[in-house]
Amino acid sequence: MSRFAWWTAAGLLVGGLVHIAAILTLPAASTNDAWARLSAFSTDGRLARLPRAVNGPPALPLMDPAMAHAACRFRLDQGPVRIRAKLPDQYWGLAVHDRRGAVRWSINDRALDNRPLDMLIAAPEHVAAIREALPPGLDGLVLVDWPHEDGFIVLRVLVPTETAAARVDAALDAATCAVDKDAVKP
Amino acid sequence: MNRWRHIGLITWATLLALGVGLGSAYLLVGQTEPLGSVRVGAWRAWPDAAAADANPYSRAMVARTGTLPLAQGEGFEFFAVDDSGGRALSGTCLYRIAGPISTTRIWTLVAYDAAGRLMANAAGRSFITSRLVTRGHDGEAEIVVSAAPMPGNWLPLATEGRFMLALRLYDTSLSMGDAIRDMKLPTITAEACP
Repeated sequence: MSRFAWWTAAGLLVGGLVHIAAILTLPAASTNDAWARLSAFSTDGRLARLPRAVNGPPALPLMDPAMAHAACRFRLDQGPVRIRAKLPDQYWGLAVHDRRGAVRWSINDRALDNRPLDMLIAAPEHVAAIREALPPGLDGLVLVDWPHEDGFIVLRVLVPTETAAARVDAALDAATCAVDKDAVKP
Repeated sequence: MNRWRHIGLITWATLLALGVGLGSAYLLVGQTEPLGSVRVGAWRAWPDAAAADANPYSRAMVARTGTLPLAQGEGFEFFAVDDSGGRALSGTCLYRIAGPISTTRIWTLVAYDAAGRLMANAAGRSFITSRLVTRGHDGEAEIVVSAAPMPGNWLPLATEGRFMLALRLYDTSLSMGDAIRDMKLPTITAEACP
């Protein structure tokens, strides 16, 4: 085999490795993923309503303009994160994404049967303690076992008609997403 | 061996490795029909885009685009860039969207321009939902997609160029991956293309 052919084969082989490395590192290296884009909407540790575009680019690419969206980026290092919302009697869905954007947990309004949403995202070591001794006022609580350091929630609420938009927006503005230190008693 | 020839060969192999590796990665992540996508008529779904066990190409593509794909438990989203006849959707045409849609609590139909932007138009909306449509005797809704205002169920466009449609089915009873091919989705028929 000529030297040129040998080096070409070696180049192609290393090219395959470069391909695999590029695909595997892209998710961690991306500065344009949903996690990064959400930081522009003050979603750190609080639930922020995302602007609902009528024209131009949506807040996040290909977001559904028929829905009102709110998002919250959270970290569990300060304790469990509690999400409370009293949403209109309407289709809504909440997804908990890991930092890479994959949906690890989701719920919609049918699961709650019109009760207000009250959920706690907690690290596995806290979940057991919370289950054992549910603190007062937490009986209707939806408990999410979250084995990751951080993540983000996305809440979608259908805007059935444009006249209902203000009511949906007000419900999202009143909703909260915050660290709840009291949920875990030392 | 000549030292310069040696350096030339190493440079060739290095450039080849980078070109082949990065080029193929770019092509696979940038394509419009990602690995794991499913076609149903004119529509294309990408059911595992939001899954935690998605293939590495799906994960790379979601990270690159920054979208919030629907997880299967939330619903299904379908995109169409061509009509049912296989011709690219164009804002100069009038399209009729008809036929049954799989049972779902809510569906929404959105028109985006080719770059994924919502289009400014006189109606001030670029979507229609199952809540807003009027239905025929058979319970089905027929939707007209056009730039010119139309009576009935009208999805306004505002582009001379290409556009795409997104049909999202929220809270469906279907959630099995292989059920997607059996889902009932409407046809997109071009009726007036001047």
